[in-house]
Amino acid sequence: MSEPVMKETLFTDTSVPETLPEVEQSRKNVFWSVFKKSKLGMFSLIFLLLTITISILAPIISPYDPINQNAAERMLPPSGDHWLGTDAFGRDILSRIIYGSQTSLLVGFISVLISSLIGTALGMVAALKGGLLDDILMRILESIQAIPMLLLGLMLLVALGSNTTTLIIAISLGLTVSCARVARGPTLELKEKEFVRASISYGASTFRIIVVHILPNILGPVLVMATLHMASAIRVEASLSFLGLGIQPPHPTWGNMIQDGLRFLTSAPWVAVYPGVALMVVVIAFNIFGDTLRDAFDPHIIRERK
Amino acid sequence: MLEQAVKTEELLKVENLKKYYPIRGGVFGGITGSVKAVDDVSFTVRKGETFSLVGESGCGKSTTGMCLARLVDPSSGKIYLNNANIHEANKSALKQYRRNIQIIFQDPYSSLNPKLTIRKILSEPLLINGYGSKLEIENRVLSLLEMVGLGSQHMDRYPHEFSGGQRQRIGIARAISLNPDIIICDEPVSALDVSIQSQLLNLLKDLQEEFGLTYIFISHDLSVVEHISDRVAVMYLGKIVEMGTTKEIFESPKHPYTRALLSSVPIANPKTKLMRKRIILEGDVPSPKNPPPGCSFHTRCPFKTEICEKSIPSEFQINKEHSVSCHLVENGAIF
Repeated sequence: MSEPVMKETLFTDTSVPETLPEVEQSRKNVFWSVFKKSKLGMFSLIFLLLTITISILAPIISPYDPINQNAAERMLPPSGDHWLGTDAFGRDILSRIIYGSQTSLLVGFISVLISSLIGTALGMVAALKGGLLDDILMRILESIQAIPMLLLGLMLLVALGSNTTTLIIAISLGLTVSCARVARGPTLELKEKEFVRASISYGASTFRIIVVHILPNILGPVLVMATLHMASAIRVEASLSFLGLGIQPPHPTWGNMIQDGLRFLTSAPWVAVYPGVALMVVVIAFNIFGDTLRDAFDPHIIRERK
Repeated sequence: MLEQAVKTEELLKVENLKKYYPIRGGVFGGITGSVKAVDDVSFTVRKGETFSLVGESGCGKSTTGMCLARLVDPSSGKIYLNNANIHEANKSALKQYRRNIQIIFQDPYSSLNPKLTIRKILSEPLLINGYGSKLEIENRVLSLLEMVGLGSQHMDRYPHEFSGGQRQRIGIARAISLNPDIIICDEPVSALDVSIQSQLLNLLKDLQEEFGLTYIFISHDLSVVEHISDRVAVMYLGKIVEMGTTKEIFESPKHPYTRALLSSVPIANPKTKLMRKRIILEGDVPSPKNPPPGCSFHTRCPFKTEICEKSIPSEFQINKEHSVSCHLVENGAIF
């Protein structure tokens, strides 16, 4: 083969990519453009950021102490001094809701973090290793899933005693299962991809394959799932606290506040209703945010819906 | 290529390679049968040559390639690379072996991790196999890109910014990065445009000349195979039915299946086309779950006789380079 011919064949399509950066630009922007288009999604994002800021700044923002009792100011309806009224012990409802958001978000965040880490790792390993390990692991997780999360939480809290750590363990355990399943599916698909096979062929370890080749490619669905799990974690925490098994009074959480107010639902509805509204709005916001996130990661779904 | 001296130094030797996939069924999920994807395949590959495996879809050519790269564990059989026994290799020997056999995949879209830059994709094999310092790896990546006709401006881009042909070039760069003894090209150009195909085939040839690479070229495209190969093995239902130099196979095919396969290649010149006798096979390839007894081709063979249905033909050497598995050729019934 003569030299000039070789040069020609080797360097013919180098000039092509100069036209491509536009594509790159658009692909990186798809996520944000889809997200921005959704008014509800943006609204829920702003609302959640606001909620998080308020809960972090609770000691500065809240007008009263959430735990100190004040017999003189019992059961006051909403007024200029107490925007959302006071409860049976004369504590300011607004302050208690603000402090309660700390508990809800913290319990939610920690249990989602734990369950996402463990669940995703389990799902990926099960899918990659396959065979007996996959079977055993998934059957164990499925048998956990067979018990409703609330019931699982109740059982664990009764058995291990009610405290924040047990509460977090109980919620994480319930959520780990669906994390594992969400991670396992795409991993099964990815492990047959040729880039994973190529990395096996030049000797990559399983750990490396997981970290470099699998995880970045399943991060989208895992993130969406984590957001949706935030909503269920907060919900379950509130339910368990409502039943008196979660966070113990006098420490405020939305769940035990609703429980406190239940007795006065007709005479002083503000005691139960306002924490209920707070809980509902935050859970809905997380759900909408999660849905929008999913649409942004996979714009095809929206197009099909339209 | 055809006029070149025949290469003789044996690099890879495959003996009685088999890959059976179990079929599970029944109430208890027991093994009820097996798909004989690769059924008793033996061949040798010589240093510096291009050895092609051709055949229809599902004939086991890709599975053979995957077995050689140990991406799939063969059911039985022996593989020797440079006389070293591979089928019984331990973990560290296997790692060493793996870097000596690299693959270029068919689909340029799924062969590159979409989340990594080209720099990362190309440095990964070097990093894993302890090529050297960061700077050495960087320089190596750059020279690899130049070897395949890309440049430093492409290093920090992501795979989706490239065309199919360019992606395949990156795949080739990754395959040659560890200086492997053998590169398995699993239909490397069949997903590409015809004009890009020839560029890539020329690139493969140039790289072979420059670095003395050995290719195992898996393809169903006979014109590509004729262009690039030194020797060809024709596979049918998991078995090699005919093997020889490219010249022998294309000019005087012996096995009825090879003849039929070759007569299916489109000819551009209408005059030559009219003169040719087309052999059109009837029926489909039988299921590898339940291959026919005797010669596996007898169900579709236009020349079949009684013996074909009963006994499995053995390998018959027509000459030193050319072998065929057919009773009729062996008996001299067809020439």
